[in-house]
Amino acid sequence: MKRHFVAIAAGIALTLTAQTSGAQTPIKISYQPAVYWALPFYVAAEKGWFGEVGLVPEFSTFPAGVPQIAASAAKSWDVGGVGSVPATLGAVRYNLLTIGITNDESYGNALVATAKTADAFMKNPASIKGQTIVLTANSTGDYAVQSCLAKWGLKKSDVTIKSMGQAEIISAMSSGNADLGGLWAPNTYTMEEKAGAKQICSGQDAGAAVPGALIVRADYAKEQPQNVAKFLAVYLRAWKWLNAHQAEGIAMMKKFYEQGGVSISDASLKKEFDTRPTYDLAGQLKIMQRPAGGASEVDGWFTKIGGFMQANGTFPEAPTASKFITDEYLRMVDADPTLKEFANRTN
Amino acid sequence: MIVQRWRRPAWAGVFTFAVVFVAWYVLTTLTQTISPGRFPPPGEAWDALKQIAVTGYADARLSEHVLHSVKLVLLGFTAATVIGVPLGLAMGASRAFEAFVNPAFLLIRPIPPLAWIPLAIVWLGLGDAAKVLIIWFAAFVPAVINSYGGVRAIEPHLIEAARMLGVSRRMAVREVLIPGALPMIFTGLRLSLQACWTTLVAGELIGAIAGLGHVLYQASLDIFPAMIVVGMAAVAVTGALMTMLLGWLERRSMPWRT
Repeated sequence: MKRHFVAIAAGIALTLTAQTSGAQTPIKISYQPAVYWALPFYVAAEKGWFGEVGLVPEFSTFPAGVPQIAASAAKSWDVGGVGSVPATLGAVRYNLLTIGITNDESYGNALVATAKTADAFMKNPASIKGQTIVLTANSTGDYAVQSCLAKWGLKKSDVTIKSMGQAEIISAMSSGNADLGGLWAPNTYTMEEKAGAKQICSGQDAGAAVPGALIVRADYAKEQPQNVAKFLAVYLRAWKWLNAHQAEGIAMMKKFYEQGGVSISDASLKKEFDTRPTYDLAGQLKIMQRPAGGASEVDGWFTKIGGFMQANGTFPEAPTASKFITDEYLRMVDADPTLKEFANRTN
Repeated sequence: MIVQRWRRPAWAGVFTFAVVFVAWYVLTTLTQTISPGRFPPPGEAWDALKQIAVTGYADARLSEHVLHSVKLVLLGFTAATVIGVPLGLAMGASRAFEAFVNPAFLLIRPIPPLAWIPLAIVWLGLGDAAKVLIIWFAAFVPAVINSYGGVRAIEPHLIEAARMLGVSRRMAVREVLIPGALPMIFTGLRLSLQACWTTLVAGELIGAIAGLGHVLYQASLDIFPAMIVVGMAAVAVTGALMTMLLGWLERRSMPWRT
């Protein structure tokens, strides 16, 4: 009863603060349609939670991470979510900061094989040598596939890699032009359900952590740190709510995915929840905490991703994780009792 | 005297390049009017060139990418020439043949070559054959149109004269039709070659393992402006060299014009 009272009081306080200061500040949020980590944006917008902290979200969507981060150069957006590979690229090219983790998508990035070949490849992974793999180069899917190859003792040069977008990969595999593809969820489910394909190895199987990143333009973060903290609080609250109300969350997810042109079964939608861990405020702070002079868990993940991109020739030197990953804004949420309570609400 | 020397095209070309290079250096390096994120300074482009030439980029070295692209262009261009030029000549020479072929040609002609990409992949898979087919489509249309136009542009009295002299049909084609249409045929071939390079870059966007289009695609994914500039320069230089080669062939084929 007391907890409820505190929650209601904090909610009223937040609303009043936003109203009295007249601060309905626009914030430009970027994401990709029909992906799991973007669901909190949809939920928060539907529930009106941005307005509760005085933010007016202006959403822009992009087909992939690269055009999304490229658009930051023109200040097309302020904050957003993206895969860890584009987040690292954005740090190097456009000084983007990673301010949180959307989810652990290690299971959702995988090497998928067609129905007729999957069992043979799973039985004898060495037979993948000499095969052609279609994937989106320099993506989290590429990272997961190359980690799988390394797990089986294969090198990139042992296979022929052809780069294309996710939609083209689905077309190529469905039409019999490719047997192996690097995909990420929910495309993995689309292939499984529509073409009987099988996931033969994920980033998780290969021991590669594939996180998703919450990002911000460095200049925006400097100018509007409070808005960045509020944005994080809204995002974290949406996950709290989704995890506490999974059935309702899946219904909203179905609608959200369909808006993005993806139609998959309820079982696959549930699988997204079951296989992709998310982090609440305490969890985020824990994985981003740096011991004195050391690296955080998240630093370690991104350092490996930077090494992968360097090996691909994307940049001559991998960026230092601590220079573009910061928990400063999560700590702002943690330090503000009202925002902290807001971020941890399950209702 | 000095004025005369500057009129020479080679010097004029060098001068233009020098001005462009100096402007590039001044704007991107000296004054930084244009930020490196928008256009790379010459130093970055040089580093990218060294990277792709020595250690490689997008899974191959520059020389391998160039050779792969040249191979695809030559295959598509040759196929378009071998099929397109005789077809255009035949359409120009025979009203009956034109009546049969032209309706189908008119339908195919406006379809952008890139629109064939999905079908090409379905028909021929993700290998080079699909890319050659797309390049062929791009090069085919100018080859046909200009060969057809070349025949139609031959002055009627030349054909009449050949008829009056009683030359055979084969000889008329060899001595009147082809030489008369050659200037326009070569104009068409130049356009075809240009179309080949334009389409190659688009064709290599999907499922390529090497080639200059693949380099540009990969560099765009890496948001690597310096490598994009290197890729574009490589396309420009290779394309220009092939055009020069075609020009040499043109001069050899029509000695009476030089």
